[in-house]
Amino acid sequence: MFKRLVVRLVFSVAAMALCPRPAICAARVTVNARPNEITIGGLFSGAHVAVSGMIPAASEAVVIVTGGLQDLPLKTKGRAFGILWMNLGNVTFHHVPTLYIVNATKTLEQSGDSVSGEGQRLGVGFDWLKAQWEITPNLGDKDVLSREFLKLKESEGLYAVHDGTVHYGSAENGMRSFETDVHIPARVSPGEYEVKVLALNGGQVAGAATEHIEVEEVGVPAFLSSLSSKHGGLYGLLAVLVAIGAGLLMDFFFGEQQGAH
Amino acid sequence: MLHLYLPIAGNSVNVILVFGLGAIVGILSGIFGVGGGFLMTPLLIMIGIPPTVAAASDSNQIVGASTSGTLAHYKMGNVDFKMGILLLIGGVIGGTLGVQLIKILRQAGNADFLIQITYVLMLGFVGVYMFVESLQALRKKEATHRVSKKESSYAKLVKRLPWQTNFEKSGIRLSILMPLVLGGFVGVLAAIMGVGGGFIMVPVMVYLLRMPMHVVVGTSLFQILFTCIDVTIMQAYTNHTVDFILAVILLLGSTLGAQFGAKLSKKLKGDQLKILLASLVLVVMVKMLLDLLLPPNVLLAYTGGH
Repeated sequence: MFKRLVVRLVFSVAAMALCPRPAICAARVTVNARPNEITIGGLFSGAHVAVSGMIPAASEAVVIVTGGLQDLPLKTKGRAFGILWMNLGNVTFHHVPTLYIVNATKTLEQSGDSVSGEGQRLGVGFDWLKAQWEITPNLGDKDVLSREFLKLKESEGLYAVHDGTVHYGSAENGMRSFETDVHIPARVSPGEYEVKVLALNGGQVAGAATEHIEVEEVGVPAFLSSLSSKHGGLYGLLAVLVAIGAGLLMDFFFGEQQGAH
Repeated sequence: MLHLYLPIAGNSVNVILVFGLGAIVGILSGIFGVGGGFLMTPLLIMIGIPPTVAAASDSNQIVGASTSGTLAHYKMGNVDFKMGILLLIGGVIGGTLGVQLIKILRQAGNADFLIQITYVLMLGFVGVYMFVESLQALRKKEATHRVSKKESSYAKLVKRLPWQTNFEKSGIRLSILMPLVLGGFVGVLAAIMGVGGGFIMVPVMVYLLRMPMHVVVGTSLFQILFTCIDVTIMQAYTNHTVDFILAVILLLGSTLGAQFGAKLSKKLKGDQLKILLASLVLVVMVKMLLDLLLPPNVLLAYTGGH
């Protein structure tokens, strides 16, 4: 009996922490990601994850899919001698997620709760993300470098903010369902990814829930990755032999059969 | 559309598109005796392959294309094995020296600037020289009589060198020092610039070794074959950057292309080949120059690659 009371108390405290205005979110915010296992096989070209769940009826959902943090060394380009663009230096971005995709509601942007402005306070969006990483060496132009970094990642499809991509069901008992389709690009690396939903109301986080998805290589890609990293020499030798074999084969089928000299 | 996942590049590609790229570069390789890395690597980067993987996997596919191309040219009697092997020995020594030299240059700073400017200037010089020379030859249509004035001092020097030997396939007599030293020179440049060197090797064979153009193409391919075998194994062993799936799709296109390229090459005259190659060299030069002059879309780039 006492044990049950303690558990209830712990849950209530946790719920209050996630939900500053308990009246709004009487029931718990939930999130589901399907599939929650993505396999990278030979024909993999990206995946779609259907994220759905329940939020308080008066709130808007923001869905954030984040990969693990990494340190990324990059070259910086600049003008040499005033006219020529080339690699001029090296910088390392610390604590950058491998993937950062945000699906938000259109009204969110219109109401001023946009993930690009207000998002910084709420812990979501690119402005907030930029504040999380460090750049070494400190060249004093973090803003410029961060903007370029986001451009690079956005061009690869690994970072994205999609407004107007969350859809809602009708309200019932103070709650409503939401759903959104998150596109996971083919460049995604194997590992665990966090799917988080924030329920926003009046510029406040009214509730949150998280789920995890697992991305792993299987079949031929898994075999080749492992062979390449564990037996690089053998892998190289096999790659060369296959290439020579292909050259010989093409000559056999399409080459002139008779030596001219 | 059929996509395949490339485990080392960590991305998926359209099979038809990559096969097509392979075929086009294979045709160029078969015609001109160049590996085509100058063209293939940037194209692969453009379709989303990381630069280091693009360069290493391209070396792997050149092994296939140059096997196919060498065999096709061998059947036409266009491969001077003796010359090829000597150039190769020089190239390996030069390449090793070049790798050390690049380390020193990088420590001194501004290495990238020096490399890119040298590359553009060299391509420009070689391209213009080759273009003008072959154009004159085509106009006069008496290719054999055109070299008398310029050649004299250079030819005298070459004739004075020790260890003269006959290169029957090329129909020339030279000191074995010539291919060794020039192969070494190309090896140094290729290592510094991070390219296969076909672009520099072909003009060196034509103008400094005075080999006939058709034999140049076949012999260059023979030499590129071995250089790229070495590069592929080294890249796979040290950097794990060879994407086998990518290389295989490219291979299927390029080995086929190389066969057709070799046949096309046979139909063209030496000077026609030279003027086409010179145009290609100049196009690459202009492209590199524009890359240097136009502001890039993003001011950050991944490390590695060319």
